[in-house]
Amino acid sequence: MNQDFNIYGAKLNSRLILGSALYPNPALMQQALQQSGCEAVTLSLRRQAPEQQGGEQFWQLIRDLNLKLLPNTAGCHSVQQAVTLAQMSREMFQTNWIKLELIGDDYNLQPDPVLLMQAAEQLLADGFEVLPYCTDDLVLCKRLYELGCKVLMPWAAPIGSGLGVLNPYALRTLRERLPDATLIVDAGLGLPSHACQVMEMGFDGVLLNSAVALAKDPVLMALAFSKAVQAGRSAFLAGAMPKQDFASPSTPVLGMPFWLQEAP
Amino acid sequence: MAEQMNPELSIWLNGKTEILNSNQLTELLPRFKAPFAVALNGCFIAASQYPNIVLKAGDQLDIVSPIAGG
Repeated sequence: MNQDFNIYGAKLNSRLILGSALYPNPALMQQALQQSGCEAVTLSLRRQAPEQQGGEQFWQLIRDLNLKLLPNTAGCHSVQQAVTLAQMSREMFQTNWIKLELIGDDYNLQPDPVLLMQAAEQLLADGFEVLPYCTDDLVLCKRLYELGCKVLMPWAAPIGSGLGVLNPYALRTLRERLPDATLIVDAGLGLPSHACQVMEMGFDGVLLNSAVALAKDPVLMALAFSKAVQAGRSAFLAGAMPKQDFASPSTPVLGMPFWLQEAP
Repeated sequence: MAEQMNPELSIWLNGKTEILNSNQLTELLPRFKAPFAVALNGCFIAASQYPNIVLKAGDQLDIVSPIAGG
């Protein structure tokens, strides 16, 4: 749990990674990304429809921001789909990073742990630096880490739900049991306080999209998340006071006026 | 039997049926805007391989470009 935040050796000053989807318009996306101070952004690949305009504008905006690119395999349901999309992304975006998403359930977009392991193994062997989007299951995360995934991205809650941390025990356990893994909470956060919460636990970073893009003011929310991530990280480094079930006065008792040692 | 110079070829292009006049991938690509990446029958085709790709009837060709993602 060193103090530098890096993804496969690439140092990032901001521990917040944002997605590029769902913003009301491209200009707001650009402003939100800039305001957040994030240094990496997620994006994807889809079939090109030459008759539709707009794709080039998006790509130009992203390039102008000069951020590190983290392509995803969102929507993939098979190992073959994910591996092929990752290979296409590597050529397109000139990066070995891949946010590996393999959906196992269409209702809650829960990652498929079995396919995730298989795809991660293939991609690592092919030279990718794999960031698997996974559940908060300790054993799955251990297996992915042992396989060679130095960065893991467990969910807090289903993608786009904004529910916040559904299972704080599971996330705390991941942090404690995988102290050397880079752990980025990805998906399900809705409020800056959610991001602060996981950073206080000692997570290395936070990745989110909907919480910023779907806010009434995405630019202001991006700033709020940025501050929350910083606050949570500082709190983690500072070390929280121990909890106790009883009160303990903070103002000294000694010298309290109106008190007599003996009854008059 | 005389061989047709430009036999029509039916493939799946980005999920839709497409009739081509050429079986050369490189002759199809100019209609797409860069940047893009290509998969043929679910497998990645590196840009350096485009000149070597000969399309067959029923092939599934996917041509993708950057979009927003989370």
